[in-house]
Amino acid sequence: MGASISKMMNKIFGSKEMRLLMLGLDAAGKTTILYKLKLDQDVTTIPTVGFNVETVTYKNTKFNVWDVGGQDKIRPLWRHYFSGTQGLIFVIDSNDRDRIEEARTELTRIIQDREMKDALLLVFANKQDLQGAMKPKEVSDRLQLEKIAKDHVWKVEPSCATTGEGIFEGLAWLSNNVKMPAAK
Amino acid sequence: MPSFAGAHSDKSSTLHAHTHAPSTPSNRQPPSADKPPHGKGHAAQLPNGDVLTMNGKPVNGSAMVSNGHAVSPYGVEKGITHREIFGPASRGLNSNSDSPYRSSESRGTSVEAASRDDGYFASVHSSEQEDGCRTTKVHLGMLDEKAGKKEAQKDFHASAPAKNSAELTGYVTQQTPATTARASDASLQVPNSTAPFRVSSPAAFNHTSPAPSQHPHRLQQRHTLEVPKQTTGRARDHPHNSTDDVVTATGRFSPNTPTRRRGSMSLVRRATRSINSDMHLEEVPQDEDAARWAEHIRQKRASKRKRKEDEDDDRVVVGTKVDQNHVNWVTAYNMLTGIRFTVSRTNAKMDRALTDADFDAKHKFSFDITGNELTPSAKYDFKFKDYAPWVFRHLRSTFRLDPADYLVSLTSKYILSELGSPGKSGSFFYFSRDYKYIIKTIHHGEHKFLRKILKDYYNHVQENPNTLLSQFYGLHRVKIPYGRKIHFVVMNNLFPPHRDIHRTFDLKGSTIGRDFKEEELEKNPRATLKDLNWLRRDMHLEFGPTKKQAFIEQMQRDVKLLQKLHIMDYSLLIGIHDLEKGNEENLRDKTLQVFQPGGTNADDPAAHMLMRTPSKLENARKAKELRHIIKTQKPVPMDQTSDKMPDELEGINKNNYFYADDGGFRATHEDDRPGEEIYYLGIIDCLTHYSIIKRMEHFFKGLANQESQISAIPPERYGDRFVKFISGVTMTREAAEREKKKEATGSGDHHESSPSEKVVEKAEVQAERSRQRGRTESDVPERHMHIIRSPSAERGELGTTLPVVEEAVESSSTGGRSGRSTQSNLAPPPNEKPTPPLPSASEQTHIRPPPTPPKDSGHADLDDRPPTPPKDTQYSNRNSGPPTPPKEERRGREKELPPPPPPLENYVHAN
Repeated sequence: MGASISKMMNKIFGSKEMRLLMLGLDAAGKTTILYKLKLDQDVTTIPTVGFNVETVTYKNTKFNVWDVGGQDKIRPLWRHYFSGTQGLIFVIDSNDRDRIEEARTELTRIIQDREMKDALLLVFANKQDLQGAMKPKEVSDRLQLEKIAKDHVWKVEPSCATTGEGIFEGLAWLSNNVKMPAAK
Repeated sequence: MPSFAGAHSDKSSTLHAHTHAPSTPSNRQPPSADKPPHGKGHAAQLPNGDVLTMNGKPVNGSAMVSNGHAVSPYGVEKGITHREIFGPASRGLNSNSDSPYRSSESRGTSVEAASRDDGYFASVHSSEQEDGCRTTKVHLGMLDEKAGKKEAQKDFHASAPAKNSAELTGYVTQQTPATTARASDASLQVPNSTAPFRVSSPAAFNHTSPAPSQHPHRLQQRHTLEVPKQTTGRARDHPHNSTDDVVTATGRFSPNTPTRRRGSMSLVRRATRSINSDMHLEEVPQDEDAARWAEHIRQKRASKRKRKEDEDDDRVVVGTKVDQNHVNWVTAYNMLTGIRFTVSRTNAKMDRALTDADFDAKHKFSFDITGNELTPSAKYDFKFKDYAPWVFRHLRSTFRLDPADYLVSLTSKYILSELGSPGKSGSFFYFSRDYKYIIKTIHHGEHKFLRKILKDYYNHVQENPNTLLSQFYGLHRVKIPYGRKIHFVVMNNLFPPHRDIHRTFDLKGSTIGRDFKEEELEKNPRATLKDLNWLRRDMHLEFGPTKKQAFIEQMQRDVKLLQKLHIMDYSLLIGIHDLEKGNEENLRDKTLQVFQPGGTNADDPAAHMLMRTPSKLENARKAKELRHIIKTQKPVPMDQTSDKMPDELEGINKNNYFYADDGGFRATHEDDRPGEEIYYLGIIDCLTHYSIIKRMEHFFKGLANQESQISAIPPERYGDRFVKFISGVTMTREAAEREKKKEATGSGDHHESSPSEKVVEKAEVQAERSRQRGRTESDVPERHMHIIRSPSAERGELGTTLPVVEEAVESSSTGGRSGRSTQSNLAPPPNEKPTPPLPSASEQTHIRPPPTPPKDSGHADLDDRPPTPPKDTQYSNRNSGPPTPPKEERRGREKELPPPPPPLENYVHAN
């Protein structure tokens, strides 16, 4: 009952809900981003085996963010979270040039999945505070986003999870670009 | 090549045998023959270029099917075991002929025969074949055109209820042997008759697909006849039966089961339609339909191949694979989704110490298609409850499970295998697809009880990381709307995926009802044997001093906990891997059977069509269809499927002392040298509380039997008896022999028997009783493993609803072809020992004397009286017949190969 009332209120006041899935290679900074969003704190994290989920409200939009662990052993589990996702946040360690190829492979696999075909794609070029980090342009080139994400709406956002820089900008972009399904 | 001509004639007779054999018993022919083993389909998917490989396995399958009477594939396998891998075609030859021991004359022959066996394959190869050979074929082919037509008419008159679709009709008619000569001609001809049609179709894997366009007139004729009502009703959503289709289409099965084949075809066809489509087949233009199907199959196969290349396979190691088509698919899906979700959720958090509240914690989640803030979307609506997640997280880490491994091997794919039949308790067992974990459904009572004792269990495990008790990894509950609540636990699987278990025992220390009938064993050689069988076989847990001590001490500690918690009715499960036999018998591959109703891939997009939770009616209907499918499905021996058992152990918990030797606990000799067997053992079923029900059982059984020998006795005594029994049978081979000698001399005094011995003595009395009722102990047979098919499956009648897995369970539901009696093999040679004083005893066979009580056992209960009390005279007089020969010799005898069975025998021995 309460849920339906709040849904109605949301409709009236134009607030929306959005389901986001945050993926990326291990140690890219996904969990740090999540808790920066949620708590505005720089938390100590452990490698995520499994997932964290938090709901963050920002600018009239309720983001339901799923942060799923990125160790290669558990990447096969990612696809179980695809369904119902409106936006994919793919986090890149901009300083890790060695594994950008790997990241591209994984990203390709994700966005080619049937369940993800309508999802927005936001790439966080994370760890911009580090010396020699790849710039957003380089990241999108190396990921060949033009090619692999040609059916998607995408954007590369430079970010630094520890300072919070770029993160809310990314959310704002998602919020502005999401096509709200009629039901929601 | 001159050899080819000779080969040719030989082959033709072979083929004749092949085509003819199935035709004779055709009336009795199992309709299930139309349910092709999956393995076949798989092989058929391979590119045509590789005919050798293609023919190898599938043909085995067809041999099994086509012979109405259980030509055991095992036997076939046996026949070819020693051949090199690249001669699989020779398997084809062998399996077609009835003698598995027949050797292949020449390579050329076998290749040809095999390729001919399947017309479509052969046609591909015809170009590579010898000229002489080819002309022959052309000639025969022309002959057969007429034959085929005649046959078509015959078929028509027979009014086989099923209309075959084009390829089937065509093929069947050609294959049906009118006369002996025709039969061979027909089969020889097949390649050429099909060849012209093949020109336009892609060469790759389309040996089935060109068929629909081949004989359109016949096809239509057939279709105007009748449409079996049942076909519309069943198997609606089995999107991928392409494997079945392949097999039927290649026509390698007996041509005389058109009805049934029709059935499987209908499965395929139905799958293109939407789930709710109720259209009758007649309403659809058949040719178009067939063509569409050909196209569809082709695509599917291509994508399947591709998937196989880049993805790891969706194999299931043992048992019945639960995929979308399985009755319990939704339940399995929900279980796995729930486990993944709850485990992931807990594991992502920072570790923390447990609090008391954690033991009582329970969290409830509801899943639906959209998902919500807490749960991801799931295909079906269900509710999931997670109990004490933190406790189990700690337990898992105590058992040294890697969280990622646990998650991935259990839940990364929606694949489980279901053990054939529920255990005695009615629990269902599911294996994770890598065979490491077991999901066991438990009753509400057991569930409540586990929660109650969780803290004690947890503490015990912390103090005894090497515990022999079942390792519990999770406790959950799943409930679908309007459905029952299903409680289940996740546990370790004691048995390894990478080792054949040659014998399985379930020991409780009691003797009433603890006998698996030896007669039954003949039918079901993989059955789990019980206490009396153990005694009768003169078995011991052969642990040297060090291991024995560790084992018995651990067992005592574990049992003490169980006693304290008032648990009883548990047992020691022992799987024995004989290192000398090793994996070469490939028991796992051969005797474990995999049913693969429908396709193999759990991720086929078509499968996701059904988004809402199916209605009850729908469910019921689907269940009915599935049951039918499974019934008609032929069990496939493991090694004929694409899925191979691993030969090496990866990543299993090796930290437990008792699971450290290759996942098990290796036997040792007197001097702690490693022995020849690996034991996989543990205490299982430890959730039975000594409740009112068990008390009742105790009471009633106690009326009829000697009270101490029934299994339902109070926990204290149960535990003591258990420990005594197990300790009693734990001794090295050397010790066992010494004892045997001693007792053979008849010296000793009854009064010195230790408690453990008394137990065993009593057991013997009981054993003797049961022996007198039944057969004698000399009958302890060495079982020869062979594949057993469910007779009901063969008949294709309503028989088992669930597939039967020939695995160590309590089930003995599979009937098998009785093997040759092996009694004589093992009768202990009577001349070994001095004749016992009493003549009456001599005709009896020997009963195992009580084993020595463990000398070095630390158990307080075990007295320190001198070990190995020889039997008292009275006792030995009563019981001792010719003593069992020393174990060494028995083992030696085991190794003897039985004489090769005559050809055409129904079973095959293998050692």
